[in-house]
This record gives sequence, structure tokens and C-alpha cells, in this order.
Amino acid sequence: VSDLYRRWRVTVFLVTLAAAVLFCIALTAAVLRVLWSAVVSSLSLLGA
Amino acid sequence: MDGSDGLGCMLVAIGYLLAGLLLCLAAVPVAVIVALVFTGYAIYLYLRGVAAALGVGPDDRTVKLPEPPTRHEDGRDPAPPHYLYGPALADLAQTIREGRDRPYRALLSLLTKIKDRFFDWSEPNPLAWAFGGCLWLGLVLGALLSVLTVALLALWQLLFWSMLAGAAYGLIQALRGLDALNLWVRGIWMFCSSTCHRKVLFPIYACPYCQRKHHDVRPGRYGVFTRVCVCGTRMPTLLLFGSSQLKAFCPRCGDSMGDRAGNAPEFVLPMLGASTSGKTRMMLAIVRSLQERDGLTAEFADEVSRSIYEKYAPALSHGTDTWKTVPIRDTPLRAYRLHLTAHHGGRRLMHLFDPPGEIIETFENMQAQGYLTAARTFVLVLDPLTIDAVWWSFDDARREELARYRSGMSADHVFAQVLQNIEALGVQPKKARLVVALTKHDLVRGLVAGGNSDAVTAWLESPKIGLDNMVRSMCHAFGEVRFFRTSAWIEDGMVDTGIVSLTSWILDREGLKRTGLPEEDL
Repeated sequence: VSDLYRRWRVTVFLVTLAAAVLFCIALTAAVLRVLWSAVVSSLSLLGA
Repeated sequence: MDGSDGLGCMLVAIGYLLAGLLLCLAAVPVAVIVALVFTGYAIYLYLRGVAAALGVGPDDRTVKLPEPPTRHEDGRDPAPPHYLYGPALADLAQTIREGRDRPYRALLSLLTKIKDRFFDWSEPNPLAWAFGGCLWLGLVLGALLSVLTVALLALWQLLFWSMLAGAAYGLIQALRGLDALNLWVRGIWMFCSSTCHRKVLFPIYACPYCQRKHHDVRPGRYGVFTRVCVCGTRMPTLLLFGSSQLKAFCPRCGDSMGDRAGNAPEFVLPMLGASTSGKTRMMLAIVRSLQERDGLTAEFADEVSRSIYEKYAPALSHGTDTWKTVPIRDTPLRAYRLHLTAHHGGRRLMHLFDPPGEIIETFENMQAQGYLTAARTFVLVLDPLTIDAVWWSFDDARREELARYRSGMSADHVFAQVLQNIEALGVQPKKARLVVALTKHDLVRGLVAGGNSDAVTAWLESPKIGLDNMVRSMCHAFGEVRFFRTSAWIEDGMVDTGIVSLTSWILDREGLKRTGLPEEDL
């Protein structure tokens, strides 16, 4: 019976994996954005 | 205390102060980095858990699913359910279990390691405590972030499964509707002509490999387009996808419904008449006429029909007697089933019933003939030997010779009995057709008028014959009435033209046009 569902299970796993990768990319992008804002703010403070 | 000691203490204090300041400045970035790294690690562990729960990769921790029954029991068919109907939910629960436990165990392990490494209370070390605190803070932040992430991923998984299940459910309903529409447009309904004599909505189908019976193969919990039998054979779920190629059985009586049930519109053709009126011979002649017709292919839909026909059909040309159809108590009448395919297009499944003549005598007997309520055309077989004018036109010797072929009931009495009983069964004759066959033309040659329906009608209504009341009643009661003079005798290998005309008229009215007879004869 389990073999019958193998294709479905692999599909579900790949979809979950894709979602996780997308989520990680989004999270990293958000963190980098915050860090970049902090660096820019620091530099402008030093410049002032 | 001298001056150098005081300076040394001050320098140590300044050192601690600077170290503390640096630590405070570094604490936030360290905690953030630790949190992000742990979140990434937690996602990785979650995905490993999901992979294990779904059996992807070497670590197989799939949930054990219940085995399907080996035969139909408790409303369950011998087939594993479709993935989205049961196994998906079990898998979801297992992925949540596996995906949740692994990051949680990793978090506990890391916290324990940090505690052991940086918080050794026997040797006070403020720098180690501070660094350990940063790591703890980062892990706690990471744990919160990873809980959020894993929860979002699990939610996405649930959403994905729900979308698939919703789409599958919609597709199932759409396919069921489409199949019902297809049957309605093509005028297809299925009929059990073996035992229970009722219309069947959804037959039981047998697996073509192991013959296990599946009670409802329509799209549903066992599959959308196909279902898999417990033996591993795929079966189509709808007539649209070819389920008519499977062996069908009646869900009420369990008897076979013949080959290719549901492939074509069906019609029921009962042949009613008194005993010894020639119904059985006429039925055999009708089958032969259908088989020999140009423009039409007639095939038996089951082996029983074929073997009975092959056994008795030679009697038509040899002149020997056929069997007498006898009523058997509590044993339902079985129909002779034929697939009819017109070469110009159109297919029908014909259920031809040849009940014993005794059934028309009482309502109780007629009541057991459930197939009558499904018929749109009735064939009334009348014996011309029962007409006095015909009978008394023979001399004594001939009458003695023909006595064994003569039916016991007069034609008008047979019709009255049939009409009364079918009306009592709930049949509306006005919506039905009546085909009146005056049989045994080979025995009464030259005495019964023929040619076409009008000529036979005029002959029956003539003062000499005196059956004008019966003809009027027939025309008044039924929506359409046709008269034929027939003979079941095969002469020179040819079926009687009356039988050919009669079958052509019936086929035409049942929607099989141009099957071998000119339009003007119809």
C-alpha cells in the first residue's frame, strides 16, 4: 500500500522543501535589509 | 597597600569594564547570528523530519496505514483509499510529530551543552557567563523564530493538502455530474434482467484480474479517475473512462448484468401471450432476424442467452417443437440479452423476456414480472387458431391435427388480461407501444390477411372475424399500436418477412434507424 502513495509523498515533500527554501530566502533578505539599514544609519550618524 | 598595587587594581577594573563594554556591544549581533543559525538548523531538522515521515530518503519513519479489506465488508471496498482521503491526514500528523521533535531535541541538547561549557559554578568566570548568556539568548530567540517558521511551514503543508483535497473533491463531484449528464443525454439506464428486474443506478463491478467485487467504483475515496484493487489492478471509475468493460453485477440480487452493461441505452421487450401461442418460437425468430440483418450487428450479452439460442434455434428450420416455458415457483424469469449495433450509428442493449403464458392469467403472477414496468414496447402474441372463423374453416381432420398447436385462450381475453394486469402494475399504456403479432402464419396460410398493419387491422375488424372491439380497445389504451402477421418457420433459410418487419419497427421506435427496412414499411 505504501508504494501506492510514494509519488504523492515525494510531491508533498518537494512542495514543502520549496516552501522552506523560499521562506529561508525571504528571512535572509529581511535580515540583510535590517542590517543594511543599521549600517547606513550608523554611517550617517558618524558623518553628522 | 602601596601605590603599584592600587594602579594594578585600577587597570584590572578598567580591563573588566572594557571587556564588559565590548561584550555588551557584541551581545546583540552574536545573539542575532546564533538565532539565525539555529533557525536555519531547525528548518533543516524539520525538513529531515518531514522527509522521514514521508519515506523520502534512507530514514523511513512513515506511519503504518491500515491494510484494506480483502473483500467488501462494513461498507468498505477491497481497495486502498486515495492518498488525499485518509493517508494524507495520517502523513500530516506524522510530519508534524517528526518535524517538531527533532528541532526541540536539538535545542535541549545545545542548551545543555552551553550550560555545561560556560556555567561552571565551581570556577566563577564572568566573561564565560556573559558569553554563555549571549549564546543562550541567541538560542532562545532562534527557538522562537524556528517555532514560528516551522509552524508556518506546517500551515503551508496543511494548506497545500487542503487545496489538493478540495480540488480532488470538486473534480470528483464534477466527474460524477458529467457522467450522470452523459448517461442522461445518451438515454442510458441499466437494468437487471437476471433476477430482481429493476433499474440499477450503480452496478457492482468485478476486478478484471482477481474478480473481487467493488460496490461503488464512482470517483470518491478510492480514486478519482481510477481505483486500485487490493490485488494491484487499476480499474476505471466511470462509464466515461471505460468501466462498462468490467463485469457488472446487480447491487440488489448480485447476479450478472451481462457484458458491457451501461455502454448503450437499454430497452426491455416483453413478449406476452397465452400458453402455446408461439412466443418462444417467435422470440427465436426475432433473434435470428436480428442476426441476419444487413446494417445491424447483434451479439449475445451473456453466455446463457447464447447457449439457449444455439440449442433451440435449429427447431425453427427443422419444424421440431421448442420447449414449453414453464413458470417455476420463486424463480425469476431470465431475459435473453443482445447487444445491437446499427452500422449507421447507435447501439442498444435489448432485454427480451419470454414469460410463460400462465402468468397473464392472474395478477399475482403478473405482479412478479417487475420488468414490465421498465418496458416501453409490449409484444402481444396472439394465436390465430383461437379465432373461431379461422378454426372452423378447417375440416375435422385438420382441426385434430392442429389441436396440439392451439392456444387455450381467445385473443380478446388475452389482451384484456394483459391490459388489466399491466395497468395494475402501474404501467401507463398510453405512454407505451403495443406490437400485436398474429403468429403461426405457416399453419393458417391464406386465412389471415397480411401485407401491412392496416390490412391486418381491417381483417381483425371485419364482421367475419369480429375482433373490432379488441382492436378499438388496443388503439384507445396504447400510445401506438402495430399489427403484424408472422411465422416463426424458416423457409429456404429465410426468416419470415412479418418477423423482419416487426423487429424493424421495434428497432426504429427504440432509436435504431435504418437497420434494414425501407422507411415506407415503418
